[in-house]
Amino acid sequence: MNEFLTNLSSGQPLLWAVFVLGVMAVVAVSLTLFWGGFFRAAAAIRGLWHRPSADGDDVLP
Amino acid sequence: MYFPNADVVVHPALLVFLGVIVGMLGGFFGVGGGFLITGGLLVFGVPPVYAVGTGLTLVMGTSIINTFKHRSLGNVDFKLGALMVTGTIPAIFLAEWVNASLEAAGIAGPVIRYIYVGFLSVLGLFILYDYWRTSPMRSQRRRGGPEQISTLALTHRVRSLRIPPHWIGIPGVGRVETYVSLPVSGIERISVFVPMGIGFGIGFIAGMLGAGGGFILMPVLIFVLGIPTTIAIGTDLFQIIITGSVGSFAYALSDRVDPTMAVLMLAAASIGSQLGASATRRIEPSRIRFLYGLLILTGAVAVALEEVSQAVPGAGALSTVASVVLLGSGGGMCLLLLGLMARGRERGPESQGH
Repeated sequence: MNEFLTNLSSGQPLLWAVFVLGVMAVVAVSLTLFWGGFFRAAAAIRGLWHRPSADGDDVLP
Repeated sequence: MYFPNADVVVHPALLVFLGVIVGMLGGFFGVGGGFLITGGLLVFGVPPVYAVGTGLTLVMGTSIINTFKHRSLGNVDFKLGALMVTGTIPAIFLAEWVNASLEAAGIAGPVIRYIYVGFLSVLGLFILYDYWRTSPMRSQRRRGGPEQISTLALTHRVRSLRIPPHWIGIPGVGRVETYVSLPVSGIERISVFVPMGIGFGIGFIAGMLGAGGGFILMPVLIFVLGIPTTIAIGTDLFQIIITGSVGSFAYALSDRVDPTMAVLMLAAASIGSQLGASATRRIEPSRIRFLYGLLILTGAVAVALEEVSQAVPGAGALSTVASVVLLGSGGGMCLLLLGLMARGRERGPESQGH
């Protein structure tokens, strides 16, 4: 991996620049999707936890 | 951990710490945080050329994450951002040409740092002055009134500027007006040349200083265009994606970026981004601006120390002091934000707008 990175950066400058921008963009979008999913899941779990029961009492212990 | 491109060993915990700070401040203030990253990486022993290049690459990545987060909060005016970008891109190249001329004359370094210190000081002092000036009006704001700034007359004048040509002829389309409405920013009608001109000015300054330009654009959007603070933060971040991409592409071309380091810090920054962006909904806009003014003034002190360290023989240690001042103030600001977040209540979108 280290060898690949150093070879690409020294041998193919244009390809390297496109690679760097591409990697950063893909990682940034992936992290955004991850956190979006994480917060949606957290909100859903929180909603289930706080859902009131039929007689009006919370499910919370 | 060994980073092959920069050929340096840095403890990953330090990079994670720096990443979280940068992500949080970026999400909260709408800045790329290039000055903070570069300073931090220098303290960690990263060679200067890699510190700047890797910093700009991280700025681009964090701006993407922060823009998405602010978009989900309804804080990004993409129409305004796109208009500004058309002015920003040619200005960056113009600034690089001016920079090269200054460098050929042997005065690039000091001139740029003097401009930097001047800009940061004036901006920081003005923002603090605005906070003091509008303090009597803030009690009204707390009762649900609009956001208050001290430059309302200027914003009205800028918004009502009529700049020729008032229309342009496009073959196949016909006459197209050069005025647009920007409903997200609360602007009914404005000449397209105003945001394009602002984009040009910011792009030129960003190119001259080798920064993303977010630290100037955010206050300009608030105090010159009169845009609500949270919308200015989100739109500013959208603009930084473009300036950050152009800068990191240029640095990557000359092999001055370490992507492994940038990706590690980006993962950490994504955690900070969630906190910082969410904090904008819990902390009063006037307080956001006040804290931003303080951060900007700290930046001015750090750049001034850096200049002294280079100009005065034997004062090289001041360079490290400058980086520590930046990192310390950044970390302190993050702790303060967490405290304010814990105390604050979530604001609704109805409380925005001037």
